[in-house]
Formats: sequence, C-alpha cells, structure tokens
Amino acid sequence: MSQDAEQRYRFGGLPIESVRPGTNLLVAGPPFAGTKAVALQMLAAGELADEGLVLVAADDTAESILKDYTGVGGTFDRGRMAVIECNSSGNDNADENVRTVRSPSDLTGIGIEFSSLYEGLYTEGVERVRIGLFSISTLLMYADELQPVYRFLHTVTGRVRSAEGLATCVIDPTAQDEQTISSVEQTFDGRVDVRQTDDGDHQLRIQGLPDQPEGWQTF
Amino acid sequence: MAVTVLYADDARTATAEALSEAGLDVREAASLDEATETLATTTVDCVVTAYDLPDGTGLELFATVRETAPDTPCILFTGVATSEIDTTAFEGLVAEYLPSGTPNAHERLRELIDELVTRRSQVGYPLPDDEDARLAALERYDVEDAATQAALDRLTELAAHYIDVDKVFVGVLGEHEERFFSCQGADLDPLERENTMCTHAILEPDVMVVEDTHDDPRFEHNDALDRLNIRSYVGAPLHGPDGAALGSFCLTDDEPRAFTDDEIGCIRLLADEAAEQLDLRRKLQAAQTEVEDG
Repeated sequence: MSQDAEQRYRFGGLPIESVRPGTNLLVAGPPFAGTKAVALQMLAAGELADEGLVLVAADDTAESILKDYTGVGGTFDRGRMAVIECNSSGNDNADENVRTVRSPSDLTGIGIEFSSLYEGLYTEGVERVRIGLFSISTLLMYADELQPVYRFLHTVTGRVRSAEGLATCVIDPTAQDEQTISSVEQTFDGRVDVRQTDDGDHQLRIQGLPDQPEGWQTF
Repeated sequence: MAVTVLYADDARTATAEALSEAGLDVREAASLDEATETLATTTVDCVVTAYDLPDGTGLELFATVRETAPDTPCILFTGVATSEIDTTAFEGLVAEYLPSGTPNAHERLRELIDELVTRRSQVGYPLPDDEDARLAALERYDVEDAATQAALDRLTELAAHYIDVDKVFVGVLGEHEERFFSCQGADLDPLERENTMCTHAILEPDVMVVEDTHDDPRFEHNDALDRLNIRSYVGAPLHGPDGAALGSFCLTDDEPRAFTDDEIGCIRLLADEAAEQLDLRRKLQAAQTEVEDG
C-alpha cells in the first residue's frame, strides 16, 4: 500500500471507499432516513486512526449531539475533539471543548469558534481532523440572506482543503429546493445521498467522487 | 504582484514588519478611522486587524469591508479570547480568527493570508469549479473594443425588439464584480458579484430562468435586485471555446413573468451568437497584433 493510500480518510463499516485528504462532502437526506447518524458514523470512523473532530451543532445542544455520537459507537475524547453549540439557553459551560454561540444566525460567532478550535488542535499536533456540520438547512433557515451562508461554507471548506481534513456537512432536501441545494453543492467535492426505502432499508449513494461504488448501496 | 494587506493595530508593529519581510505589501493603520480611510482609497487583497482598536473594534472594520469590497478576506489577529468577542451586531460578516499567541503566529498568519487570497475563501456566492481558468480566459477578451460593442449592441437590440422585457444586456463576470455591456432599456453600473443573478447563471449548463425573484430563495432577500427593478430574469451563459462561461446574455423585467420555449430558444441562439462574436473578435485582434509585431 502506498503512503498516499494510508493517509486517506476511511469510513469503517459504511459502503463508502476512502477519500483523499482535503475532501468536503455534502450529506443530503431527510431526518427520518437516519441522515445524521450516517454523517456521525462517517466521522466516528476517524477514531480508529486517532483523528481530531470538530462538531458544529446548529440543530441541537452539545449534549444531544454527543449522545447521538456515542449512539453510533463514538467516544468523545476531550484531548482531540470539540463541539460548537448554537443556542441562547445560556449554559455557561466552563468546558474549553464545548463552545456556545448565541444562535445559528450568528455565522460570524460560529466561524470564529470554528477557527479557534481548528487552530488549537493544529497547535496541539492533531493534524488529521474531521468536521461535522449539523446542519446547513438550519443555517439557511436562520439566515436573512444567503451570502453569509456561502461565505461561511467557503470558510469551513477552505480550511478543510488547506489543512487536509475531511468535512461532512448535512443538508435536508425536504427543507430546501433543489436550486438552493445545487448552488450550495458547488462548494463541495462530492455528495452522499441518504434514503430509507419503502421496505425500511437504509441506503446511500455517492456522487462526484472517483472510485466509489455506483448507485444506491444498502447498509 | 505582491498581495496587499491592510493591517490595523495600534500596538503590534512587529506583525506588520514580519508580513512585509515575507513579501507582502502592508498598509498599516493605528485606528479604525485610519483603516477605514485606507479602504476608501486603496484596493486591498486582505484585511488583518486586532479586535480592540482605540476608536472601535475589528468587527466594525469588517462591516465596512463587507459593504465596500465584500469579497475581501478578513482575519481577526488578536489575543482576545473568542468568548470576549461580541458578535451580536455582526452576525453575517464571517471572518477568520487567529490567536496572536499561537506558536509561530506570524508565519501562521502569512500562511492563512495566502490560503484565503488564493482560495477566495470568504466570497458570498458559489464559485465555478474552474474559476482560475475562467478568469484567465476572460483576460484574453477585449469586450470594450468598439467593433465588439457594435456587434453585441445589434444582438441585444434584436432581443429587446422581439421579446417584451424592460432590460437586455450582456453581463461579464470579473473577479469581484459584474460589468454590463450593450444595455438596452437602462445603463447599469458594475455590481458586486454576490448580488448578481449571472453569478448563479454561469453555474448552469443551460439557460437560467427566474420567473419571480421574490419566489426564489437565492434572490428573494437581494435588495440590489429590487433597487434595479429586476423581478424576472433569463440568462444564457456565454461559453468560451474551452467551455468556461465568461458571463451571460440577459433579459430582465420589473414584473414577474414566464418565458415561452420559443423565447428561451431565441435567447439561447442570441447568446451563442454573442459568444461566437466575442471569440472571433478575440482571434482577429490576436492575429492583428501578431502581424503588427511580426
């Protein structure tokens, strides 16, 4: 195996082949299809390689997303993992690894916390970092205009590209029209669609990336 | 060409020196006022500022940047912790944050400036995959040349004559703004790319039709379009020979309206003709330059 192949990001038990460092993935699917769990599972696979993790929880509290993360088999390791939650409930968290921003509409605040955490991990020698954004739909719902959302997404995906990280950013196609999704998709390298069939099977499909399984895969 | 950086801080001159030594063209400002003045007179590629300035905050400076040159990357370079930064009135700005206490902070800052400038990391709109190649291709065209203008004028005049809309123009998308040529109906001043519809149209494989801007999430909150009385839009991409879209051939109206397949087909033909005119004239100019130089 070449050195390059060893450095790729892997996805454990999911039917997704490894991707090269610096890849940004849009994970699109409705909440009931288990989209969030798929994205979290893609992130938790990084634990096998001692990678870092930054979760942006715009939909939920930190506590709740960490519970979901544990639910897919992850373990929150404070030495190399952090969460940004976006609510105004005023949880005064003394935890350096759990940052609170007032609202999902505060993209400047989320961006600053994100950069600060990413820089912090980098300084501590954690070079491989996975990023999870839950979810773009919530950011769009709270934003008055689209421009700041594009600006925020460019900032996140730009960091991931330069730092050779991996991002999975969730969007709900039932909350956005296809035009908005396709213009948001432009910022990403590939798209993972998630669905549940009438028979109750969970399936995913990867588009836009080389060397991936074709069509819908049951998992 | 050296990257120009506006650096606002009343204390850390060592940072400005380090950036200059790294080959950047650094414009220093010791206050918010001074920085704002520099922005009014100089085009900068990146803005770096402390959070606390003697007469305001770095976020106030970024607010001015987003109003006047919105694509410009902004970096807060500060020892102030994120929890002490009040973003309440600045939610939509989006900026980078680098703690000034980071190990090798000056080297890291220079890297970050490089990354943000080359990756266009803070633009408020989707970018085509091949943006660098697209801009390089655009450089080769002289759209303002009189003969080219006359050719485009004929095409926009035809469109305005046969299709009932209030504006027709050829929009060319430069790095930060769109310029409008051969306008029928009204002359249009250049507009920041984040506010133009053609920014989205050049990403489409074919004609983009928006029957009502107020009913499209990409444009419903765009005040610039309301000020220009644009409620409906058709834009056909102007593809160069290598496929990159230089801009679009556009029709707009002040009322929501639908466009028939016939009209859309006709606009597609006019756009293809405009693109071919642009390209033939580019080749003609290149050939003439070669003869003159030879």
